[in-house]
Amino acid sequence: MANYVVSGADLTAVADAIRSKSGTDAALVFPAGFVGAIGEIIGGGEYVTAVFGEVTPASDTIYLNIPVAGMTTIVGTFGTTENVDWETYNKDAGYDYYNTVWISTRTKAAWWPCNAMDLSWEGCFLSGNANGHSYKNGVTSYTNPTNVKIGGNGYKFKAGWTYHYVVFGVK
Amino acid sequence: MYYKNTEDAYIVSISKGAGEIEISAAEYKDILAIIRSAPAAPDGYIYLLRADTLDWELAENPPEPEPPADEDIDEAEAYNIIFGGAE
Repeated sequence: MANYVVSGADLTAVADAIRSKSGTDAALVFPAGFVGAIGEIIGGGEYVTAVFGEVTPASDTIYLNIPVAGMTTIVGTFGTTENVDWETYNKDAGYDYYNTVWISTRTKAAWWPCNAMDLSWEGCFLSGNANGHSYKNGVTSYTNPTNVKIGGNGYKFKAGWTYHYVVFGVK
Repeated sequence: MYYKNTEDAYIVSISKGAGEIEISAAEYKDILAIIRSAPAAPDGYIYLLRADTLDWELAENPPEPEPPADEDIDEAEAYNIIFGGAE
């Protein structure tokens, strides 16, 4: 394939056009950044949809895998659990950081950073437990997923608890 | 639709709506009952559910980090995360 010389101004013009559609002002690195940003733009034949479901982990786990077959991009998640025995929960200090609810959002071209100073975080993950604490964490994987992985950093999901979720994404 | 989700030889979860291996409602109910009656594992161990026999298998559970103190956020910050809008 032939090689071409392209001016920086022309590349910037293309990048500006991409940014105007993707709603971000982030720098785009050629070529992977351009390709990735274009892939994030919802176009003809694609549509935002929601997947509802529930998952019950068999063992205590710091990660909850949410099956979301068929989505190319995840734009947000919400989840909560059922049948929590709050009295038992609160008596057991070891269960202090079990997740009972989480919200993750993806606005612009990246997961919304919960902590703007920590650019290693790909997303915003807000979870809460029975004692009223809230934590922030990251959506661990989301690109072209069969599973969205939620959690990490020791915030457990409890075996036998059923977590209900809604995942918003692009098909 | 009912599913079981496996990793190696173990069932890691069961799910409704989407999942890895489709199962019947009766099998889902049976596995859910097994999960919810799991024996308590001693400290430092975890029970894993074998996919082939539906028996519990005791395995070492590596210590997990406690949530860092600076990740416990107050109500105002939580509100801002949800409703404050992206920068």
